[in-house]
Amino acid sequence: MSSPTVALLRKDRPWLLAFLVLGTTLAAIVFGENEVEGVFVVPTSHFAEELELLLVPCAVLFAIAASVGEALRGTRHLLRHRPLAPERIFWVRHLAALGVVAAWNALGMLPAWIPELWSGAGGACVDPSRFGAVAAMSAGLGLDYALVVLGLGLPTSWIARFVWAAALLFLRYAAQSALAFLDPSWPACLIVYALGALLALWIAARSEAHEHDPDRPTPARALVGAAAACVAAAAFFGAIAASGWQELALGGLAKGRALVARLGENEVGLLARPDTDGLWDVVDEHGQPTGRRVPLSGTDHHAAPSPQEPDFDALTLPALHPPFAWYQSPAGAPGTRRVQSLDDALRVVDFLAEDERRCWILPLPVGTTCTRDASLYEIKDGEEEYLYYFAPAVGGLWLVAAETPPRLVPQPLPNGERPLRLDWARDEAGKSQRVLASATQLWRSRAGLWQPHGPLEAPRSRFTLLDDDPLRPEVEFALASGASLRHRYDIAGPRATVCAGAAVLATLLRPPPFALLGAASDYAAASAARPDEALLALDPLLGGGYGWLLWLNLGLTGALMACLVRDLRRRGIGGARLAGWILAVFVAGVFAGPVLLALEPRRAWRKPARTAPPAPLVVAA
Amino acid sequence: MTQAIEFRGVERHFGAESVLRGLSFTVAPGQVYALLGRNGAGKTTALRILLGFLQPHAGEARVLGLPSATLTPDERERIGYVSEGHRLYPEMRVNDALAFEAGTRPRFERAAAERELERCGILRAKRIYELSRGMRAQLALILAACGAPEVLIFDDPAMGLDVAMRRELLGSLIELLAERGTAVLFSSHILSDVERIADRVGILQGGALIVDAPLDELKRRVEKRHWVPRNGQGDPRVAGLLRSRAAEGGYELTLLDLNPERESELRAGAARLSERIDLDLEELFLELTTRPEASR
Repeated sequence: MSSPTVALLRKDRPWLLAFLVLGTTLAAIVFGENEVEGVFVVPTSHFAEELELLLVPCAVLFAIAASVGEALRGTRHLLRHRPLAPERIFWVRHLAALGVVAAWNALGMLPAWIPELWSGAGGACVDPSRFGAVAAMSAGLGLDYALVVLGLGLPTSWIARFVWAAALLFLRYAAQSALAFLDPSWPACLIVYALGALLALWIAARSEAHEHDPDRPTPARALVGAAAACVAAAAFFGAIAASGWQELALGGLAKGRALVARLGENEVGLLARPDTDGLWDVVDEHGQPTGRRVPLSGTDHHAAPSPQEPDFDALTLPALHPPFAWYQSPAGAPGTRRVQSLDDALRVVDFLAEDERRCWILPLPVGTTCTRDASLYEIKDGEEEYLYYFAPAVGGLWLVAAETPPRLVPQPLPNGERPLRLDWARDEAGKSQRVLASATQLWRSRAGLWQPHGPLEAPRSRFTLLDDDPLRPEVEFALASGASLRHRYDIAGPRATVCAGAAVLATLLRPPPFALLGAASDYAAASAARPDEALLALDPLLGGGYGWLLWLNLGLTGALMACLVRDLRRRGIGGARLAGWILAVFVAGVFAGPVLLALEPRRAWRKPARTAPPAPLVVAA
Repeated sequence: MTQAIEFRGVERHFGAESVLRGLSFTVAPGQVYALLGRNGAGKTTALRILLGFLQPHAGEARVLGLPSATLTPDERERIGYVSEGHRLYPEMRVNDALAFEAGTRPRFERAAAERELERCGILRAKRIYELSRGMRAQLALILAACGAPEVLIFDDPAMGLDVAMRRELLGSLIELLAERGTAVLFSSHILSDVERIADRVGILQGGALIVDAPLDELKRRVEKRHWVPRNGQGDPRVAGLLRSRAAEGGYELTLLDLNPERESELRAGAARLSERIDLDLEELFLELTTRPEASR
């Protein structure tokens, strides 16, 4: 390393070391609590959450210290006024910090490994891919660090920088959640996180090379990367906000609508809120009360349909946050067994004694892969426990035999019936238990054998969505007796109007690329194909019969662009810079506004009235 | 000859407020230039523009003939800088600070710096936060000066120091400068210090330079007189009158370039005109910067 690099590292050494100790200690606590068994043999599901809970705030704090330390101490100019390029000063500091972040897990796991290596287990049954997953988690922490550095290095006011840093961090986890359905492997996570961190730092380096000056336009060189990152973040945030807003509006619309319900053995009707004293008003087609009131409990009823909701709950990636492992008592051996499902196999680990482990991989039959609906589940039958693996996509059912070594035993249903889904049913004692449903009947396991549990109950009613119009759906509710009701929900009343208006507004404000994507997709088909996935990119209205709203969305975007052109020209902005901001509005729609306000403030283009300076009193040669 | 420092019509505003208005002056190689002004006059802004930390809205600043807006790292090495408040890394030991300077400035003369530290009695094992204010200021000065700069820029070097510390610091500065012949631009509002070391002074008022002259010449050209009007009535009217203030039955006049003709003109309306009263820099500064706007 060259002399200036060493000097810069020595200068930053105190706080680099402080964060190395802090992060390593926190990591060591989590690795110590979960031990090698819980991290590297059969990972426990809470390991990754615990690690993130402690180390993400630490990475954020580290990034804040690295970004604002010089400014707080007033040494920024002391450092800048050196025969060193600002970019070099930036990279030396932040690459060293990324090294520290990477060292947290690498060093933090050592205390957990020392007793493991000294004990008889000696690393037996360790899953090598878990080291990769831990490395990917470290890269994720590096990305958190880099995004905060990017936010705090943007050419805008300090308050706005902190807001952007928080927004970038929020969007990183939202994106991770939204992209979780791609089910990336740990190498993919590692590469994406590492490249993301380097890209964020590269943009921050370009932006930081210039002193932020609120009274001068940010130089184009510093602006390009920063604006691109902020506009992309704003577009993504806009899509999430529009989806969330629309979900609320459409949910509110459905909630305010009448239920279709069975009112008697041969009678179907509509029930309207509000619920008073447990009784609901029976209403006519137009929502007018008929004067009759019925209790809801015990009534077969259906609420008005609302579109599939985007799901942002899962912040986890399967590759990093391992799925639940099932426990089983291995026959003929002491200890416990943990069974874990992999992509194309089951992994079985027996923990025989304190220092002894054995493991097996049970490959699934060729052509059987663990799709996301495949599952391990157990059934208790007296003292016996049976662990099954069910893959509905191929209609496959296997028993994980509690033997040593374990075996996968195929469990065909009698008469060649194909298991279709898992269900619940009551046994003779009235206890609820897991059953399998085939096309004609339910099946239960007794003493390890599958027996019919009874025919599938014929539905007493049928609810059909005839028209999936998101604002005015049409449904049919038919009873087995033959009585039926066909009803189209209308937008009637102030509440329905407000909710429908809010849903349309969300479509109009959706960033144009997402609106185009939404209009080009069939929302109903997409939500049926991926019922549990995030549908933030799609729009229930644009993809559900209201495609014409796209023209209003684009029209609004065009109007915004026209206002922007007029305003920026008044400030004196033109050429490529103006074109760049027009593109930003096209990408993020109205959500480009905060980016424009932060990075292109009016003040930067202000030219105060010039007054002639007073004549000098004494000037000598 | 290339000027060491040059401001050409520099203008700068913060929001709607103009901070520098057409600032123009030069500092020749080897010259010590003191930039004076009251708080908020624009001194620090001028220095920040000179160092390229801030861009002017109009005009240009140059150091060693180079535009300061685009100083390269190599060009920065030729410029020494001590910031306001003598900012250093407080957790560093003095020795670490020397190592940091030596590591990041190829021209830094570590042996010379160590000699200076020894002369000033600054222990190298001490952490910077353990040093007194005066010692910290001396250390900042030594670190800047031992980088063999061709231009040295100080932002209020004596700020926050007591008289004894200031004397010591300026003593160090004078010795260092005597050895090297470096051009120096410093801002200050402690005028007794300026008198000791500056060759030339510039006085900023409201962002504009109202005085730019060698200190001796300034003192020679500006004087004070006591003027009592004949019959106790009448106002003093003469070219070069900078300020008049009622005092002792007459007026105390501050006058610029009072030549025999102007003096005769004054005497014509006067019952009494005192002899010339010389002003020190502090009095000069006050007289020039507290003038009512209307009398300019």
